[in-house]
Order: sequence, then C-alpha cells, then structure tokens
Amino acid sequence: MRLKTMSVSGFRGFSTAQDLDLEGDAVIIVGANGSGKTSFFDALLWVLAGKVPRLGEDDKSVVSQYSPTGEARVELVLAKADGSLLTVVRRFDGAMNLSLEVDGEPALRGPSAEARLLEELWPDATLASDPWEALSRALTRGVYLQQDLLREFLEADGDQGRFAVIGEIVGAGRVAELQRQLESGKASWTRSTTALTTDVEPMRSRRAALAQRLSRLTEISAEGSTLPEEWRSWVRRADGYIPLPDVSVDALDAARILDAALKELEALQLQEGRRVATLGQLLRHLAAPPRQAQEVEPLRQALAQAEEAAAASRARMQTGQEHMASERSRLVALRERTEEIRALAQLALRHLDERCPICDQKYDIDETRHRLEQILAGEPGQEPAVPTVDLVALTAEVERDERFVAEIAAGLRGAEQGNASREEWEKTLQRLVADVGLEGEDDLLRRATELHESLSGRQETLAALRREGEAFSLRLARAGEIAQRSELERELATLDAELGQRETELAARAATGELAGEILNALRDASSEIVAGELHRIEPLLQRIYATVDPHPAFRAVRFLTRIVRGRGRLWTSIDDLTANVSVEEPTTVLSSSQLNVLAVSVFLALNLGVETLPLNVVALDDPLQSLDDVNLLGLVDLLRRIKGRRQIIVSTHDARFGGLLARKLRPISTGDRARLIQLEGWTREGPVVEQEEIPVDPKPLRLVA
Amino acid sequence: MDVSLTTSQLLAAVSELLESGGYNVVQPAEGWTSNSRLFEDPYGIVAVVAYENWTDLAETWPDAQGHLVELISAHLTRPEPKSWEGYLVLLTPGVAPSAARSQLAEIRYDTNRVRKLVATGDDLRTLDDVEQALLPLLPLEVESQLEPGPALLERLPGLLAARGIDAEAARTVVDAFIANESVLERLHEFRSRV
Repeated sequence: MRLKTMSVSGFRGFSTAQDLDLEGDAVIIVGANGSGKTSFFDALLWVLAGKVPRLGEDDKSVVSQYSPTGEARVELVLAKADGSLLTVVRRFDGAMNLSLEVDGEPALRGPSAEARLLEELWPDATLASDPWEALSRALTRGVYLQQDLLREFLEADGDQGRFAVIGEIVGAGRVAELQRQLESGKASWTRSTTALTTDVEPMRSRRAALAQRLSRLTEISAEGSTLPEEWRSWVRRADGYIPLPDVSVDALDAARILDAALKELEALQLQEGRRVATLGQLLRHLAAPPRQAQEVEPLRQALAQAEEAAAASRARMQTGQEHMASERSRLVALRERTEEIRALAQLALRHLDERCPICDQKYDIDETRHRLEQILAGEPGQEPAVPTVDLVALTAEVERDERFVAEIAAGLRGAEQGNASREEWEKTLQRLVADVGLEGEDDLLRRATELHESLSGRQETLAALRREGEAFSLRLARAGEIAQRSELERELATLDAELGQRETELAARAATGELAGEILNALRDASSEIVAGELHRIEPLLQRIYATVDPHPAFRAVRFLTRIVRGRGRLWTSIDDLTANVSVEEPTTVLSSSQLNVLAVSVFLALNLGVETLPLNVVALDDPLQSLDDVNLLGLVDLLRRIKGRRQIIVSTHDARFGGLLARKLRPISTGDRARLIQLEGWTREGPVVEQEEIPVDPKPLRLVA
Repeated sequence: MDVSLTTSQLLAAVSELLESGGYNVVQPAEGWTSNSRLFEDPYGIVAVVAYENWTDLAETWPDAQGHLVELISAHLTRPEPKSWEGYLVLLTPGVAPSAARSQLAEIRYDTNRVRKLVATGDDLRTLDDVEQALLPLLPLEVESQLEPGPALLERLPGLLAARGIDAEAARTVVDAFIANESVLERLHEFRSRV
C-alpha cells in the first residue's frame, strides 16, 4: 500500500488546508527547519494510528494554534496493491473522529472504520491488547524513521528493549501478545480454579458431616417384620387406659404418637400411683384407730380439789414456819437485852457511890448492889423456851398433797391428749377418704382394701405397658435410624458422585493450568527464538544494505547479535572488521556520528524491506541526512535509489542542496515512474507555503551507449 | 596460500557484475587505458580502472577521473541530472601500505566531481570481495537476501513442540489466540477430549 494524496488542515504546522500530491516512487520534501516537514510525517502517522507518540497522549496537541476551525483534519488516500483506493479521514474537534472509505464502498465511521483500518493496515495489530499502540509501534519502527529517533535502535532501549522493539516489528509482538494473553488467562484460570476449590469445600464439609452422622447411627439389621403386629397389640392394650388414634406403625408420626401415649401412661400411672399410696395410707390409718374418748370434767374437779388441799397444806406449813421464825427473833432480842443489862450492871457496880453519878440523887446503895449482883449472877442458859411447831409433819403433808395433784393432772393431760389424737385421726381419715373418693362408704375398710388391690393391679399393668411402650419406642427409633441411615447413605452417595465430579473437574482444571504454565515457559523461549530467527533471516539484507553505503573503511560487516538469557531476548548490533578479525558489540564506541546514522538507517531499512507484513510499502525518513558526511550521504541516497522501485520513498531534508541531490538521484527514468518534489518555503500563521512539482523524467537516460 | 586476483580477473568480475546489475558496457573512447572499463545505466556512468599496484593507483587515479569528467561533459550538459552521476571505481590487487591509509581515505572521501569507490588488495581477495566493492552500484536484491519463512504464528506450534509441548496442544493455543477465543478454555477442551 502506497501513499497517494494527503490533505492536511489545522494540524500542527499546517494551519490552513494543504493538498499534497504524494503519488510517486519518491517524494522529496525540502524545507528549512520549522517549515513543517516533521508536521507532514506527524500527520501521516496521526491519520493512520490516531496518535503521535512523541507528542504525548493529549490529542489536543496535534491541533494547530492557528487552526481557523479549531480542529485538526488529515485525509489520506492510499493506493492498494490491486489499484483500489483507501481513504482515511481523521479529525479532532475535541473528540477523535475517524472515517474510512474503501474503493467506493459506503464510508465507515467510528469503531467499524477503526476495525477496517486495522484490518487493512496491520492485521497483526488486531491480536494486540492495544491495537493502535501496536500499529503505531509498527509504523514508527518499521515505516517511519523519525528524525529524533534515528539512532534509537542502536543507542536507546537497552539490549532487552531493542530486542522487544525489533520483535514487535518482525511480528513477534503477536507471540508476545499470546504470551501476555496466556499469562493473564492462566492467572484468571488459577483464580477461578481456586474459587471453585473453595466452592467445593462446603461439599467436603457436608460429606464429612454426613459420614460422621452415619457413623453415629447404629448399624442395625432390619427387624421390622413383627413390628406392625406388636404395635397393634400394644395399642389395643394401651387403648384401655388412654385414648389412642388409629395409626399405623409406618406412619411418619408413629414415634410422636407413641411418645405422647407413653407420657399419658406415665401421667396416669403417677396419678393412680398417688391414689394407691393414699389408699395404702388409709388402710394403715384404719388399722391404727385411736382410744375411746375419755371424760375429763371429773378429773378437772378432782384436780381442783386436790390443788385446794395441797394449797391448804402449804399454807399451814407456811404459818408454822413463820411462827417459828417469829419466836426465834423474839428470843434473840431477849438475849441481847439480858446481855446489855448485865453489862450495865457490871459497869454500875464499878461506879456505885453515895450518889448517883448520873443524876446525883441519893439511893440505896446496898440494895442496888445486891440487885446488880443478882443481875450479874443470873444464868445465861436459862432462857425461855421457844414454842415448837411440827414442820416435818407439815412438810410430809404438803408433799403428799402435791403428789396427788400431779397424779390427777397427769391423768387429765393424758385424757386431753387422747381426745386430741382422736380428733386428728378423724380429720386424717376424712381427708384420706376424700382423697380416694370413698366418702359415704359404709364399709370403708373393705372398699378401701378392694380399691387398693384393684389399683395396684392397674399400676403393674401400666408399668408393663410403659416398659413395653418404651422398648417399642426404642425399636421404632432404631427402625427410624435404619431409614435415616438409608437416606443418609443415598445422600452420601449422591454427594460423593457430585464431589467426585467436581474434584475430577478441578484436577482437570489444575492440569490445564499446569499445561498452560508449561506452554508459557516454552512460549517465552520460543518467542525469543522467533525474534532471533527473524533477525537472522533479515541479517544478510542488513549486511547488504550496510555494505552498500559502506560507511567505515574497516568495520564493513554488521550482524544482529542475539542472546536469550532466562527466556528474555537481548539484541546488539555488532559490527566487524573481518580482515583484522575485530568485532564490536557497541558500535557507538567506534563509529562516528555520521557512521552511526548510516548504521541506524541500515537497520531501519533492513527491517522495512525484510518484514513483508508492515502496514505500508513506504519508507518514510524525516531528515536522515543530518550529520552525514558527503560520502555517506551519497551512499545513503544511492541506496534509497536502489530501493525506490520496491518501496515508496518519502524523504525530507532541511538542506536545499541535498534536496537537489535527492531530486536528481531519485528522478524517474521512465515514463512509468513518478517522483514529486514538495518544497515548504517558510512558515507563516497560515502554515508553510507549499510548492509542489513533478520531477521530470529523464527523456534520454542512456547517453553513451550506442 | 594468499593468492590475489589479477587486474584481468578484477575487470572481468566487474564487467560481469555490472552487466548483470543492469549496466551497459560502453566502448572506451580515446585516452582510456586497457585496464579500464566503462559502463552506463539510466542513472549514471561508471568508469572502472584496475591498477597493478597501489602506487599506480595513488599516482594516476586523477587521470582516470579527468577522463571520466571529460567523457561526461562531452555527452551531458551541466543541468542534466545524469551529469552529476559519475562513479569512478578504482581497484588494485596490490595492498596499500599502512602509510597510505590516509591517502586511501582521502580518495574515498573526495566527492568532488565524481564519487570514488576504492578497493585495494586487502579488500579484494576473492571474487565476492569484488562484488562487495561494487555494492553501491548494484541493485538491491532483497529477495535473494531473505529466506522466506512461514508466518510466525504458523511456526509457533512447531517451536513449542520442540520444547516438549504436545503439538496438538500448541496448535490449539495458537488457533484460539488467532480466533480471539479464550486460550485456557480451548486448552481445557482439548485436554478433555484427549
């Protein structure tokens, strides 16, 4: 696919519309720096790839500051190999607009235009994660050698970066894309498998729980053959005691009904048991009747009389005792008086005189003495006798009377207590009779005995029914467990089958993931090998191109030097002096700037010519002649002439003299050839002044040959 | 054994290469020596002179250039583009001494009047060396330089198989990628089938 025309307006240096005729084997663009040469190439890149990487990501950057419409628009007409035309129009007015017209077909717009454009230009890009980035890389590395990136292949990116860049151009970008897709897919696959594994965990837990439940269920052989008959028999017998619904043993709620019946039987047994106990108590009560009632009033009267007599006895004894005490007091007082008088007599005897020492009266001293002496001579033991009372007899009398009182009181208490006990017995009897419901029975003892015997018999029957019922309940439970076990076993089998299926699927997914990993590892090596292989396939062409320009007198051979280290490719461009057997892997160390430029252009052209799938059959070089000395410049231009028939050459130069040289060298030599010269003469706010002309065909190419 | 080419061999090789490269042989006019040949193609005029040794070359190449310029002037006017397309190829089987290296470079880098291509015995040991010396004048045969190969993705399954990956699995992965399908899904399906 070649360029035919390009219309540019509002784009970078092209403020106003310019229609450029690009139809030719060679298009030479001449203009001073700043006149719009690079804008031309940027427009070419932008209309095709929608971006100019060196200008950054801001789409607005392509809009000319002096665009009269405020928008940028580039229309490019491409001629396909079959002669059909492809018209691409890209416009930016704040939003990117793309339209595409393929040889008269209805114009496509938007995504369909983008898809078709990719398909037409670089089908490989459709496999890339960012197709436009891939297309842009292919254009900038393989079709359009930008002025400021001239030596990028040699000096920038590092050995791995160079390998990756070249790999993209030779098509290994798709392999790398596959590698990325596989890596990404494998990561997603692993996440998904992990999630599925997590999803299976509850199933595994459920299986373990089921197995545990199964292990808890008794493993009993089925013993349900006689169960229905026994059930009916038991129901019949129990039905006499408690109401039972007519239900089969196979009924789902048989266990519940049995449980209710057992509870009712228990309640009945307890209730009747209490009655039996009461009856027993009643019978024991009747067997121990109280004594007959005793009259207590005579006893009370006798007691009162006896107490009265005892009181009289105690009063007499008290009187006697008091009398005895009074007499003793009187006797003591008498003894004290006698002693005092004798003391006075004795004292008076000592003080007897004519006259009374006290009252000084005259008295009969002798008489007095005699009298005093008589007083003193009186016998002290001759005291008046105390009258005696028979206290012993009185005491015995009191004791006898009190014993009598006690005896009567005891008899009275016994009688009273006996009477109270009898009342209590009667009350208990009435309560027990009422409890057992035998009020009004004439022959209470017989009725109570009969009832006791009857109820005791029922108690035994009820106990037996309960025992049998409980045993039956256990058998029912076991039968239920058998059914439950069976159900659990079925559930476990289903779960095992599902789990097995899931685990098989998980194992298969894991195996797929592993295989993807193996393929990924192999792909890393293979990807590098593919790039290395492509480079070695192109290498003779590189050598041929480099040798054609022949920029260095000694280092005349060039090779792509590739190494694959840990799955990653590395690339050097090695130059060799075959005569002296010297090899240099870093050309920058031995080549001049001019020679390096030649090497860079050689690598670019080798890739451009060597990779048949590049988007355009175009070699676009933005001012490649800068820094080239004359001989290399001539060599490069001669080389461009050699590839002119194979590629459409679009080359710019800032030097009018070189422009003339290019026009001469790339001139058409037959009427079928065409070459164009576009001169950008100065730049104003309206953009460059564009002069376009056809480079004339040499009317007589051969002059010396006869 | 280090055997150098003779001037006759050099001239014969040059003639064959240039003629096969689209050049026409031009009969030399008066003044051209027997060790020279003239060629023309639509773009330019080439004069090839084979000297016996370096000394001859170094001393007499300006004569050859003069003859070529005269020849061009005689047939083309100055404004004609072809008048700028003269090439002088100076060959010698003789080795240029080390001291002459700068002179050799001077001749090569002298682009006045015509472009000079110079090759001495160091560079002309084999017939292939002769072609190397004439490369700037020969067509660029791209096809002969490239060995065509299948599309990269087509080669991929084989490369993966060489690394121990099942060929069918490798093919499945590549096919899924080309069809923009889930590679892992397709790989899984493939595994399930086998």
